Amino acid sequence: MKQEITFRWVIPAIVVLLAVIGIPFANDYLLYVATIIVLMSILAVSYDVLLGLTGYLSLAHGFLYGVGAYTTAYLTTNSGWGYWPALVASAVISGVMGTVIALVAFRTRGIYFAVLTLGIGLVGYQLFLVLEPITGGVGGFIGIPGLPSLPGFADAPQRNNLVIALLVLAVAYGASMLFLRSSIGAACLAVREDVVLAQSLGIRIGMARLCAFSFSAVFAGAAGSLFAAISNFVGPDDFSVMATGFQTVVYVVVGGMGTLWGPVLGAVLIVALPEILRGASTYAVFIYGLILLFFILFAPKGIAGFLLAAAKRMSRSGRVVISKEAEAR
Amino acid sequence: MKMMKTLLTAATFLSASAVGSFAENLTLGELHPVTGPASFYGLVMSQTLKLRAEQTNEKGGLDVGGTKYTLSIATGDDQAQATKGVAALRKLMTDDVHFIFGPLASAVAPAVKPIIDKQTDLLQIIDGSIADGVVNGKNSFRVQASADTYNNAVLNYLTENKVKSVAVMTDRSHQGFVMSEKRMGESIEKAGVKVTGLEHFQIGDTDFSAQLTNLRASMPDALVLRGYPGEGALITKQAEALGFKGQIVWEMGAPPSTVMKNIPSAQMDGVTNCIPRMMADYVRLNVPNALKLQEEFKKKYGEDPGENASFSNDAFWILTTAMQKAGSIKAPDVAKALTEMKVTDVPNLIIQYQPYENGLLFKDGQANPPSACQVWKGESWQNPPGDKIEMTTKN
Repeated sequence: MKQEITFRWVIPAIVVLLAVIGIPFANDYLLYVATIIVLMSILAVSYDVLLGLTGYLSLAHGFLYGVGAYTTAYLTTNSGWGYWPALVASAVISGVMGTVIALVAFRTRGIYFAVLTLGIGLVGYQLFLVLEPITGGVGGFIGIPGLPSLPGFADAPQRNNLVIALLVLAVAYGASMLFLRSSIGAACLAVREDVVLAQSLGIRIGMARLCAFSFSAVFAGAAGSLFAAISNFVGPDDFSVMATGFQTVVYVVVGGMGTLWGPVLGAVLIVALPEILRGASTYAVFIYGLILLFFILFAPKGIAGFLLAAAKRMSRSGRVVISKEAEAR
Repeated sequence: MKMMKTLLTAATFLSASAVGSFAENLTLGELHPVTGPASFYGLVMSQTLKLRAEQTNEKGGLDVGGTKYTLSIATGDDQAQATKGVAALRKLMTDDVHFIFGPLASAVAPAVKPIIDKQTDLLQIIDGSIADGVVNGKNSFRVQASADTYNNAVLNYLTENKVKSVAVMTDRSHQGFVMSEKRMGESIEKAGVKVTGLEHFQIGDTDFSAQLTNLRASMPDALVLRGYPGEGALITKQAEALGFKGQIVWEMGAPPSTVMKNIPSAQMDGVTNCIPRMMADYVRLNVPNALKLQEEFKKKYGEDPGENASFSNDAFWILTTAMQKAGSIKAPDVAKALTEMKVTDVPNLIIQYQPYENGLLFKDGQANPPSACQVWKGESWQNPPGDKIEMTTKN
């Protein structure tokens, strides 16, 4: 537990440190890949609040991510909104949409919940295709205004994008930590461990689950909003169940559910891998499959579980050495 | 005499190595799906570009303004996905690539457009995507046909064959076809052909009975299928199983090998495909440059080039010729040469582009490849009897 709390702060600190060191020197390509990693980390951290804390597997988050992206695209392109109000509106609309989905979906549980949210994800994707006046249909939106420049970053739009994405990730991470420590977070954990027991203890499980779902939807919308402004283009393909919907689950499972920092590492690995393997792209899918198999079979607690176990082993061996030295004295 | 020969040999060797050592490197980028589900289109395009670059290098490199350049092709594998395409383009730009062939996928072309529009030192020649609004005529050009060229091929077929009514099924995920669907419907109606129904499907679908039952009820003379060959074959099979007796007209690039994965060849007999003329079409019509590429491609890769090889082949020659005409490898200079380029300026073209006014190859960045219809017979598409092509390029 002690190690987990340490990691919860150490990992974000490393991310910030790497960013501070790397941003001035990285080229546009690396900055873009890093920005996408950060966007996916926002999605992963907020999704961990739902999957990691309550144990409910939603496949509708690709759709909610899309709602955020399309909201920003529409408001900034067609309605003349500035980016920051559009970001807030995207997060709110996605949150409201998530709440509505949660109210329907939480009438089920287990595999039925997953299948129901899969259906919502599929319907949502079709809506992006058919609601052409709002979404641009299969052609999507072209020419979405970019992110506003932060002071000192006017001449470096890629750096500006990464810094803003990191700031939103910091907010998402901090808010997730607060959620985890709150009474609602504790209630969510109780729901995950034993719903019946939680109910018998008088915990309002319905409210806890609803809050977790809505919370994750808000940040999925915010991530989508950033994606729209950074890409200057949104099309439906990025928001299908098999694209972001499924990938979000993979980030959290590979990273380590319920840890918050694990999913960040999951997003780093899964997004960076195809780029690292760009020279051998034929094998990229094969290696991706192997990684999934490895984590499911040999490290079911993900990267986080792997690191925690390693840290535990190291601290134990450290203690053994100290005690042997003491005995020798 | 022997001494003279030795000296001559030595001089030849020295001059050859001098060219080799002074040749500068020029990297041309490509955005194609060389892995993933669309790789059956993209890999051939990539291989064609690499073949052409190698051949140019074997001949001593590309001569631009007196400087010899050794060409290399840097592949950006976009896997036909927007985000991967953007990352691939940014990687190419970071690697100091200023010329891009592609993309193929209509999902990628609009995603990379905002980046390309902003760059003054980047030039793109699209050899695959038919998406609307992705060509600006300043630093992006397209040798592939526009969606309207595809649609007009069908329209011509319908009017020439006096078809009275037609039902249309479109792949909802195909950007180029969906965006031009309304325009196409209006053109068909305007030509006096009744559109009895419009239905949609999606790539990956396998059951089309609901749409086909609905369309069959209106008894159209013809059924037009717009999308990809995998679904096209399944729809054709299911339409026949449901008792549709009218003419089936495809509107899609459809390599026979892909078609026959989903339908027995006998069931394809009589199906017509109306699209811009592609590689196999030019080979059947004995266009010399097409036969040449087919032979060279087969020699190097052991198989026939796919349908889009002709577009990538032409994109390569158009770009390198523009560089030579501009006498520069600076993107704005090359772009200017492209806007002034005539169809007859470029050697080795396979596609017989219809010239615009004053013989120009591009108008607002768009070239004008001709279209035609082929009929399935036996195990492949065949040109209808008497089909001829007007030769507009040097062959």
